[in-house]
Amino acid sequence: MDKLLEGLYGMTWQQGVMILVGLLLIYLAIKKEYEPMLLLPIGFGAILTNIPLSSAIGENGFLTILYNAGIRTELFPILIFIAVGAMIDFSPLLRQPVMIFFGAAAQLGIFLAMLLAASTGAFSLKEAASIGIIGAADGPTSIYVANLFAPDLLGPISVAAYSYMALVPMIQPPVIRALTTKEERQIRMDADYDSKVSKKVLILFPIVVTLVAGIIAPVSVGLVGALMFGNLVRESGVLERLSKSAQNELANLVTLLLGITIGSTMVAERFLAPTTLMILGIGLLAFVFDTAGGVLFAKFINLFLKSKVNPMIGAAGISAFPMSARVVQKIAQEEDPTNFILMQAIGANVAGQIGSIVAGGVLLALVG
Amino acid sequence: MNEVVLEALKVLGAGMGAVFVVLMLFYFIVKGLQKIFPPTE
Repeated sequence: MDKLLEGLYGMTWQQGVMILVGLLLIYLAIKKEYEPMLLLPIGFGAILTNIPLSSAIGENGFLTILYNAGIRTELFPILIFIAVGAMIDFSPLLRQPVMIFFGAAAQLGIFLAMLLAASTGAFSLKEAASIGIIGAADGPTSIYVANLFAPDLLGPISVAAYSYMALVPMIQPPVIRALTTKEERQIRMDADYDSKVSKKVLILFPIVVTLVAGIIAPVSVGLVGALMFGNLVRESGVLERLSKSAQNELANLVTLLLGITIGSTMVAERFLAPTTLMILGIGLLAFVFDTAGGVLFAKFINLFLKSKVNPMIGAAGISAFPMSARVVQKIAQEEDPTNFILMQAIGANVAGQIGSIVAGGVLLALVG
Repeated sequence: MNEVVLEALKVLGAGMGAVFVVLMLFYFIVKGLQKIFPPTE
């Protein structure tokens, strides 16, 4: 009888709280549809991990085996990058390459959040960099960097990264409105997106970007190379079956395993610490700084342009695709129902996907 | 100001600079590729 009640007797209040956290994540995933593909498996993984004497963890537990095989080796994030690469259409960016600069400016949140984390005195530089990378608004990049620099913080960092990505429609609008005037939000942009992009450019872009990024920062080859490989498979035009597999089967399978494995890092003793609250707070600020960085950069370049840019486009320079571009278009239409800046916003948003990975590679090179 | 904050400040400056330089490089790559391979009707 005692054997049957072992689990109940062994339960600590911290484990109880973590099970409630897991249930909350599942609730948010199902009821609020906040990144359900990730938050639901993460929530369930947290529950499995915090059941007393759980056989899912421990030396031979399946979650430990998945963690060692897929997270510790960085295999899962890399496979996700291949899948994401196969999903990305770079043509909105290639049509308006100037948008790439917004993808750079909106990475400001990564570095400011890192500085903020460092200034608390609670984190080392590597841990601060891992917290800052939440501002990449890019789950796999956050996992990749955090796993290398601060594996103990992987749980809260992943939860923050994915939760705030889902909350982009709530986080960005107040920041955009606070930093722009009504007139600025009504600026129309030249609708020059009918221009075509040559197939050769679409094929050569991922190859050349990989070569250049790899030669400048070899440490970024894993990140950039996997993304661009996926994209090359998509754009080659001769691997349609593989491209579809990467976009569907690979993405779905790895997302499933990644989520539940990340959940397994949410061990009560590590997660229920004051640092977790700090990570969640600084992570939120990282998204705010990203948005502000993009908008302020757009306002700055407007000082030199004859044909002004709608500064809200800068906010779309984060990696959360396509939520951020949609947010910008929605605000633009609220101000002027006939103003369409979606294509420009999409271009900046695609640039943000490249920018976040470059920023991740830069962090690995500078802090590693 | 402690050492970690100073290091973080350096990474902030160098990091944002590096991101801009790399993406500027990509900008010129795209411009160059489009010049070499203009779209055909």
